[in-house]
Amino acid sequence: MIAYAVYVISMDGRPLVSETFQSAETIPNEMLLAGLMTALQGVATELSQGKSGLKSIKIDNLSYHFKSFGQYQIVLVTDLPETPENVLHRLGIQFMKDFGEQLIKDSLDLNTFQPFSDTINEIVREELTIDNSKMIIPTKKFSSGELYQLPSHLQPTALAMIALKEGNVEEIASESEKSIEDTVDNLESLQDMGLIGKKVTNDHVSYFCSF
Amino acid sequence: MKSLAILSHKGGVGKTILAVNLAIHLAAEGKNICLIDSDFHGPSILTFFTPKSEIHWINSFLTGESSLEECLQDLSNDLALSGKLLVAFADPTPESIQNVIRLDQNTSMKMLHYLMKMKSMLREEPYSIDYLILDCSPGTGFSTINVMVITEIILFMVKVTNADIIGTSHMIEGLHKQLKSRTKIIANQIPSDFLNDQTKKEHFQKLIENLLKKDLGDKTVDFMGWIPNDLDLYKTEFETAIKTLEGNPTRRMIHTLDKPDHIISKIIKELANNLFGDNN
Repeated sequence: MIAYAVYVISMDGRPLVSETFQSAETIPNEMLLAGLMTALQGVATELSQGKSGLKSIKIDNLSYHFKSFGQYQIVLVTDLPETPENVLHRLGIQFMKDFGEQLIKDSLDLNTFQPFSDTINEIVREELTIDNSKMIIPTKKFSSGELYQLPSHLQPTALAMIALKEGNVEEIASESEKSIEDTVDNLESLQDMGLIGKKVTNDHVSYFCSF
Repeated sequence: MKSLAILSHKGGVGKTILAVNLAIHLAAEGKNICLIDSDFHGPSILTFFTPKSEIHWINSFLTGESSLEECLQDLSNDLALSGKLLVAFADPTPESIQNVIRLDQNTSMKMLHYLMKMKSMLREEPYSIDYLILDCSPGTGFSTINVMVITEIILFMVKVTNADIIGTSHMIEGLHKQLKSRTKIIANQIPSDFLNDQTKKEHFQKLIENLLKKDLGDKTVDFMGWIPNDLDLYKTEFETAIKTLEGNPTRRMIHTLDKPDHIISKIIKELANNLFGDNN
């Protein structure tokens, strides 16, 4: 499962802190997003007569997962609809431990919460796939029809990515029957287009896509 | 491994009969064949064979629910073929057909992912397949486009009727980007007396090629030949259907297996050579 963003939002709809793992061009306005999510939560709670809030919603092929922790809620954006309960829980509890006391103060200084973006990075990286290059465009995905809209030299690498879903340069080169040099160039081009992400784990680099 | 997709604009042009006959001919020649029913809208390869007791449909492999091993049936011994014939059947139930009709882009990409995995696996042990043959649904649905993506040779089958010739011409034009540099065409169900006139044949071949080559740019259409009408086949198919209705176990006639000296068997053997070259 690919994680694209995490938002910590106060229950009155203010964005407290966030971390994104996607192309900067496609990041929604934080204020608007926080407002929208809070409004949606309110409507869902109203409709369920207070029994339960909104747990997950799919917009434009992206899944927004919610978990409320009293004064704030965690919103995690992923490519798949299954809720990553464990990640939401870990993030929420850690935020409580680190900033629980700050939240009860009358005036909130949002800068206080900034260090939590590192914690988000750490937790999400352990549990889910993230694009370290922050170039992936979440709504841009391979499709069998559009494969052929790509320049012909990129098509074998794109097909190899679809076959492997995730792989290192050597695996992708072998699957596409292209040289390592060509594969590296092609992967960079596909990254520039926002179609694939790059994951770095213990100096091991791999590329991934979502569909 | 060489791979072939058999496509058409309309249904009932004889794609499945050709796919089955080609597969049987090549397996009888000692080649290892994998025949996949990719006509998810109207699967019928099942009617040519007597499958083993439990069938895992190829649909379930393409959605990640079954392994490839579970979905492939080895029919080589049953048909006394010297090569290997592995067949995967598609699910003919209405629910499954509805699912394929409603296929969205995400599911289609997952299916393409599994098709590509399947192709890689078939190249290796224990399968070591020489030829992968996929019988597609008529038209240009997601499942057909996916098969076009993974195969090297694309063969269109046409009936020489206005509806099919014009429709195929539009289909080829619409699929221009997905086509390989050379696309093959074969015409089926041709009256035998027409095939005896060489001048007429050449004239019509040129007309069809000219129509289908329109707007193809750098890509080429190769006309692979004509398959005659087999009036006996209609009778045999009718008799088989009656037997089935009477509750008897049946399988449809396969020319290259049941009538190896028939003109259609000879044309299919020649077609196999022309499609795959270098004595297969």
